[in-house]
Amino acid sequence: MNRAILVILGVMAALVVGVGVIVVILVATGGDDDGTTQTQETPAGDGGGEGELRLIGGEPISLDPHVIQDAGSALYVVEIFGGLLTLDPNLEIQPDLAAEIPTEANGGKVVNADGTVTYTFRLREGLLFHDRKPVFAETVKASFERAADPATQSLVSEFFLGDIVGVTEKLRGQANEISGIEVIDETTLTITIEADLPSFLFKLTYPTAFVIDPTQVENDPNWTRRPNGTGPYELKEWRFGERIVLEANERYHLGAPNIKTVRYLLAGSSITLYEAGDIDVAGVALDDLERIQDPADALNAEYHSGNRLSLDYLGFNTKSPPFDDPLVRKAFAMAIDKAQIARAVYQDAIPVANSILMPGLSAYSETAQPPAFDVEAAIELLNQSSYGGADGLPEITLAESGTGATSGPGTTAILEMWRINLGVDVQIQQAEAATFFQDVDQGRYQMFTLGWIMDYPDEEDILNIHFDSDSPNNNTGYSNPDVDALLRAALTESDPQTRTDLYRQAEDIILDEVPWFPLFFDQFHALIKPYVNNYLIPASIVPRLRFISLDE
Amino acid sequence: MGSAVVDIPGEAEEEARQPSISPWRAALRRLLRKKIAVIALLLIGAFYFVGLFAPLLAPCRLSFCPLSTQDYRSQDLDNTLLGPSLEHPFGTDRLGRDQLSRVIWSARTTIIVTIATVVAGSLLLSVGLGLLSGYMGGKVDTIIMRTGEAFGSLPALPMLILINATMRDRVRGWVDGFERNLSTGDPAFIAVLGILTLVAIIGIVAWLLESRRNGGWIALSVVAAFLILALWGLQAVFATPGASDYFLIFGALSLFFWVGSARVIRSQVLALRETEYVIAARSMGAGTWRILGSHLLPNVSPIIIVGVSASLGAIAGSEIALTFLGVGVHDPTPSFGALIFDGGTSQPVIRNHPHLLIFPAVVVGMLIFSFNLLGDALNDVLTPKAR
Amino acid sequence: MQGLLSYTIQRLLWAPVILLFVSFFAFALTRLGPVDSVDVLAGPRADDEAKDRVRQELHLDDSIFEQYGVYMKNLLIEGDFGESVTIYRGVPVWDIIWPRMLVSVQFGIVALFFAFSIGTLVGVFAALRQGTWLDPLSISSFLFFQSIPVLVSLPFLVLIFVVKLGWLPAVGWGGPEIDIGPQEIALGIFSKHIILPALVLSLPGMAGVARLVRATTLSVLGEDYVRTARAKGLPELQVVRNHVVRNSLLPLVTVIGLSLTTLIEGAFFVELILGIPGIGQLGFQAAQSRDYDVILALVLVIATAFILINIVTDIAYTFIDPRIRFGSQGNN
Repeated sequence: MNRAILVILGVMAALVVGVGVIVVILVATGGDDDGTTQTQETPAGDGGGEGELRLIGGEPISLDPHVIQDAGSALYVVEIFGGLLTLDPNLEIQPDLAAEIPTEANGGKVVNADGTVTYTFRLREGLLFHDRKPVFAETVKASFERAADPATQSLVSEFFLGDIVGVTEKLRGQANEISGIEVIDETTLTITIEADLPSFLFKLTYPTAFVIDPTQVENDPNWTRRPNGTGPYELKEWRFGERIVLEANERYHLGAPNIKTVRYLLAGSSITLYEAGDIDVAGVALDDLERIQDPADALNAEYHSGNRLSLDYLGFNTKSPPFDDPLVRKAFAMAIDKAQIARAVYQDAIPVANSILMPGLSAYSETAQPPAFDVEAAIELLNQSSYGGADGLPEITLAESGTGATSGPGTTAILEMWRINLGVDVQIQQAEAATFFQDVDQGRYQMFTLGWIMDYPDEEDILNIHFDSDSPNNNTGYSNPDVDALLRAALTESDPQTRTDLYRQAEDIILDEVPWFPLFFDQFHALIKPYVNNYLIPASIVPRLRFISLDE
Repeated sequence: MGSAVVDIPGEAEEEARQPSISPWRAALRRLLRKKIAVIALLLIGAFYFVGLFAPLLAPCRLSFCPLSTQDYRSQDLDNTLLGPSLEHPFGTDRLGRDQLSRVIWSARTTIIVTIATVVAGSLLLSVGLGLLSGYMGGKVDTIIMRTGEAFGSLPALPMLILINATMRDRVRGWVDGFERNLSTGDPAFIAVLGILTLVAIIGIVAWLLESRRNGGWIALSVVAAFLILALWGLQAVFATPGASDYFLIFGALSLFFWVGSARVIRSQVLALRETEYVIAARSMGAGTWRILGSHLLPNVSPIIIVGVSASLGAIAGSEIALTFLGVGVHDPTPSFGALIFDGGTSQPVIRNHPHLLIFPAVVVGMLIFSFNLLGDALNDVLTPKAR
Repeated sequence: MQGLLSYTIQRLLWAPVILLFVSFFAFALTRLGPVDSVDVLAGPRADDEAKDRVRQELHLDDSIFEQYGVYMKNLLIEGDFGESVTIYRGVPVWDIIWPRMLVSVQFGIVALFFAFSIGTLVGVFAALRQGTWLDPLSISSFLFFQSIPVLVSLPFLVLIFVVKLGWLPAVGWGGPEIDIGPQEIALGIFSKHIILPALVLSLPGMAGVARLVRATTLSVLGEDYVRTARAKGLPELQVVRNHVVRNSLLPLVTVIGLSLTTLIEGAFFVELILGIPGIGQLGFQAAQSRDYDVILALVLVIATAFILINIVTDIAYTFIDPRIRFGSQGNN
């Protein structure tokens, strides 16, 4: 060997040593396929579950059930954790940790003299966390208190738990305990709420009401990376940016899952992976939809679609100029031709939304009247507004969730409609999902596009949570005493028909004042391999993996 | 006696320029003799021509397209995702926007960013600091060159991402502030412009009246005129949407693209400053700035040309890369980075609508290739060693 | 050898100074740049009190120099890069960066290896064919491949090898796995996953090396000793091997640093487009999520690696070619 080559090799070796020494060592020591070491949880026993389901998913923002508020994270959380109650794929309430749903008939629900209502929950016998730690009534209480602790910084606990007596005090740091939750014995607890609220039990199915392992949360600062829950699946592995592996909880109290392992890839192109046989279910991108919907296509037989209780909307910050003027909001809404966008941009893959409430909710009305597309009327409204027309408007920025160089095509189309129809040049700003949610909550944007997927099939979960002027999740700053009165009346109304009417009236006012402008309802388009049975895509985010099975 | 003293530097100047002019022409001739260089020059020229005249050239055959300069944004939702055709040679995108128009307007974005960076970074920073460093030597030299070394020893992209991520909101705030203070109707703005105009006129008049005409006064009016233009230009730039993006990008890019040419210029100046005519000028009592400006600058300009042409391609590449990563130019300003991001990151798009990727990618590839070809050829022609 | 020793020492002393400069520059950017750092750090529900607490905890009210001192102290003494604020809230930054770094390093090294081995062969070959029709073709194709940015070439390769031919996997990363502490990582070097990133990243470097090797080989071919060797009637292969190659490979050392820049910058696009969980993807995510400490740590790690490698190559070069010593520091 001559000297120059030696030196070059030396430098390359120095590179290896300087940067990648670990890789070399690891290659030498752990190069076989089964070199994985299982360090996290005890492996589940070989019970009923078999096989592996391979899916593609997004990276969750967090797996802390009390904090998350996005559907992407909830997807995993509802499988790993559980609460007193749960929703089945038909969105009906079912008992989870509780042995039965407390009702007046079974004595679980008592209306007290002062108007408060006390629910008594009896827990199932022998409930266990994934790590086989037992779950007692005390654990449930501790979980609620952790969710309502100001240090947890949950943005959703006030809405979902605020009905419980004492939660507000706890959230404000005025109390150490939640006075409305009482532990009777090891397996019994009572929860007292402020009034007889028909939707309260629904709220207990939301992740904020899920049971966590209080000792783990206290002792392990990184517990969200190895969460210990009571759900049908346990987290076996979460490799950032790469994959999440769930393993069946064979002791699950509602019945062990059919499939032993569910593997989510967090990166890659869904359709290519599906066609290569690397995943079993794939969402269909718009660009492939036409091809797959063609009955002649080989994949057509595996194509499924369906509705979801989900709405895409445009949110206006009613506290921020120029959208503090309802006329401006309305003008902007009326300049958007939703039907054309649905057809041209989304190839009619998703239906146009003419109401805030989705079909499937009892107060949904086909005759709801959001501001209709009408350019001349829009310009007229803008001229009548306190800004006197397009020239009087300040600079406007629309925010949307997303990363990368370009904004979503739907949003860009809307922007162009405003420019052509109203003569208003709106800027666009993108933010990564976690940041975006935070900024929406803090009212930092003038307007934004966002989606809302129902947590449970009740109007409260979209109208009260977003339009009550006192709601912490009112993301537009919208405030109207009439709407407040209607929404609050509906909350405690026990007659379904009256309740529906109240919500319809509230929705009509909201549609007219446009804090939200509904754009599209959501529809899923998926390819599912024929050997996957019962792959349910519920209208909302509920535990569902345990129902799926695979043909051998 | 008086006139004799003045005349000598003039002669020295003539001598100084004499050797530099003919190699210039010779170099140009040599360059034009290289076929590849000519082709590269033509391609780059075409790119710049198209980009600069984008408002006139970008086709707009859509029925509702207004007679504005914004046609790259005009959507035709009835004709989305069309393949190449006579009407839309590069096809249309998801919103029915003409892809050719978008490519042409993207060229304009690239040109604005590269020229601004070249002016701010390569010319002002590297020429200024390179001359200063080489001529002054000592501590000034050490500080400038060490700072340069620190910047030059870093991978630029992660730093650029860091700068963009942390400074974006702040720069946006500054630009908004400037924009408010710089509006054309603002009396202060008009006053400043008026004063500058006055200074320019005084400079010209004084130059005409002065018997010796040594250039001091005319330099003053040139500076004033330059400032007027710069203010107008700034005002125009600030008023365009997305101005803060431009500032951020070329500000950040300038930080990294001055080092190379500054280093070369410095070494050239080091050699030149001991030459006879500089020593002669100095002994005649010419000031530092005069020597730098009239004696050294003309002699290093070939090197500046090489440096600039070498960095143009790299700057264009960086702008496209930053935009691709979402930390550069933002919607609705079109950029190649955004076009390639749209066309080349999603496999369903690559498979079903390859024209969205192919046209912008080929244009970018050709552009950067041409810049490299030209830089190579210039290097051959102007660097004595490689001849 | 006196000069060489002092040069080495000078270079080694200079490295920490640059690193100090860089780290301060980057740190100041993350602390002074953002308008909203306290809002981000304090979390979504923070009231003024909580924000004050964050300011105190992070010493945001101290001068930037004191803050920098605290940060560097934690970093150097405890190896503490702080915690992620938005991407993986509460997770130590190092735990996030470390596994991803090992992923990026894998295809980086393979790409570097490709670039130098294949580049050298092609370069020598092109030099020996000077004057034939192959010569202009190879020169321009080298320059072409060197010019094409990764973000342009990669989608085309994906189009061809993944979408059309289906030869390479559609997902970014995989392979046998090993545990490295905070989590397991996949060894892509033992799977097909390495091919696309390594190939696309090595292309510009390969072309650059080939160009350089061709040029130096040509100049060596013109040297007297080669002509002498040929005149002596030595077999061509032997001449090339003994006299040409060894002398023409020398300048290659200088471009290793340069290739690294291409590699690191290219990694951002490769990881983003292919979905590889490496540091480029992380940097992109962190920039989008305003997770400033993560970007800061990334910049520091990359800059350190970069500067060290540059020093190693510089010193190595002075060892093999004593003339360089004076070239580098002779001006002052």
